[in-house]
Amino acid sequence: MAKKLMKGNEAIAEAAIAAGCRHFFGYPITPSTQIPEYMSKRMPQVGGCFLQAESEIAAINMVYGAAGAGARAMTASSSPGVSLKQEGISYIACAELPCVIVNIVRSGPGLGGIQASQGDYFQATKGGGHGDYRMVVLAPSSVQEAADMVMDGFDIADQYRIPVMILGDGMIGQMMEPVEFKARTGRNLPEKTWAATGWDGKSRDRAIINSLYIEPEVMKTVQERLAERYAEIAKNETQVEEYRMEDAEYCIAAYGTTARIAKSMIGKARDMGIKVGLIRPKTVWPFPSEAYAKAADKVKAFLGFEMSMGQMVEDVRLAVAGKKPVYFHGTLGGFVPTPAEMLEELLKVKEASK
Amino acid sequence: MQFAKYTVLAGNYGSGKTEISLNLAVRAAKEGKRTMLVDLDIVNPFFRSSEHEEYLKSLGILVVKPNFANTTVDIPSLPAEIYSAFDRPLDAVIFDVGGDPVGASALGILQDKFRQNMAQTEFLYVVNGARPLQETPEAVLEMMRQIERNSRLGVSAFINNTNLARQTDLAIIERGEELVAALCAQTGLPKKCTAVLEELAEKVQAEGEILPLHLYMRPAWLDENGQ
Repeated sequence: MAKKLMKGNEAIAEAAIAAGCRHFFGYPITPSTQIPEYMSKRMPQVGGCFLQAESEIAAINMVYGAAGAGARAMTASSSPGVSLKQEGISYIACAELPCVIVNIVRSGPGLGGIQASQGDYFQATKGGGHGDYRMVVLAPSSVQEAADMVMDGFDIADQYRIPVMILGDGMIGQMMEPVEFKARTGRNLPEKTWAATGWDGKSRDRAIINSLYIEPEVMKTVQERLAERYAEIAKNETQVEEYRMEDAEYCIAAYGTTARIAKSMIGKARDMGIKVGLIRPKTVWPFPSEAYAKAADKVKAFLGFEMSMGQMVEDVRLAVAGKKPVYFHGTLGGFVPTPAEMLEELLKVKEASK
Repeated sequence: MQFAKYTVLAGNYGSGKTEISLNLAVRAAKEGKRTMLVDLDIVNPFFRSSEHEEYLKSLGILVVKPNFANTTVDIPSLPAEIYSAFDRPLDAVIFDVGGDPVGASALGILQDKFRQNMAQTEFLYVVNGARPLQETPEAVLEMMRQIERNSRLGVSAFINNTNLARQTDLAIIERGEELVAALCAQTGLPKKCTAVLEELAEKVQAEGEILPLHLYMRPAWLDENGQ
């Protein structure tokens, strides 16, 4: 298929369709509204189901139902809407259901603003809903990567029976870039023998989709199974990009749009003779701690950039484990940092590292 | 290339109305025309022409925008000031319209004004054939008819603005030329011009006039580092 000029939100929706998702449930909210809007046009063309739910809570529970029946299901929202979905996400995690949840993050807390933000990192990677669970969280840095991650996300979800979140900021949702939907070799996925698709009483055990375990022994078994699976995911699925790190004396820590802008800054800093590189988590859970830990033996200092007060930087500090200073610069209010703003911060860090 | 006193730019999301509006306004101002840019987009709170208000004002261009534009309040409300486009002494007024039938309904309240100034009004429909769900003449026309219905105005000509942002090449523009030729044949309407990135303007072979575009809305970091 020829390249198209697409908004991140449109590319995310089309990628879901390309990945075989035929069930979308959602409730529109800026800046993710083009996802349900696009789905409302496309799903009928491919024989799928677009349903505008009465609320975000209803939508996530529809995803629970469709995923429990073995279908590839998706919902999408933005920050306040994703807060409403948290109970359902926790249930989905406990019921071990695969699905893809998109969060096009806007600024908060509260109803906040409609401009881009990265303030939902904690919510996405540290729970958000109640209980002991994890989600795979993919953080695209371009529209093309957003599309690719949605397709991979469905595979990861099915392989591990886990909810997968696409964590994009408002820029990723709204900006337009050329996108190509390449033919891909999917994973060899297990058959969904656990799906509740109707029981004939003999050919298999009854499929029960449940997140309530009254007996402590059974709850313990479920949790142990999840813990084992999370460890396996951390081992197999951690994705990270290292950019110009070979000879770097300074390491930028950033993800999503911010990482993209940091690359532009790195080009300018390198022209000034500053050896600086970037470690960009593509999965923010599992977090690529090892990449930062290794870099801690080589660089003089780390500098985190986020459109938040500082969230991912805590994971960077854990990984660096006090070996080197970790500085941070946050851009707030829904503003997007500029390469010049970032360069100024890097120069301060360089001065402090003498 | 001559543009009417009242130039309305409509088209689907991502067709390039806003970049073209900014270019036409700057061009008119630089020709010494008394110019006004009306940001009529009530549907998309992001990447809007009035974000460049300061620059436009520095060129003497008057800017009218929805109440609450460029804030985080997403309310489709227009100021009475939009009527001043027809009362003030002006030579060029450019209307940048929202990218779907709902967005085009904002034009409806001005229909009497446009009717009274029919001879001085051009309603240009911007086409980007590289946008999803807008790749065939049928799809473009379906959207265009809805936009015409809601704006209560008839399109007077097409602009081919088929592009992949900075990855645009001559083949993509050519694909757009074919699409717009088919649209012209089906509707009997003319093509106004082909809009092209300024760096490609010399190289492109298209029938009719070329409108070189300087991109105002796209941050430079978007297209660096081989992304």
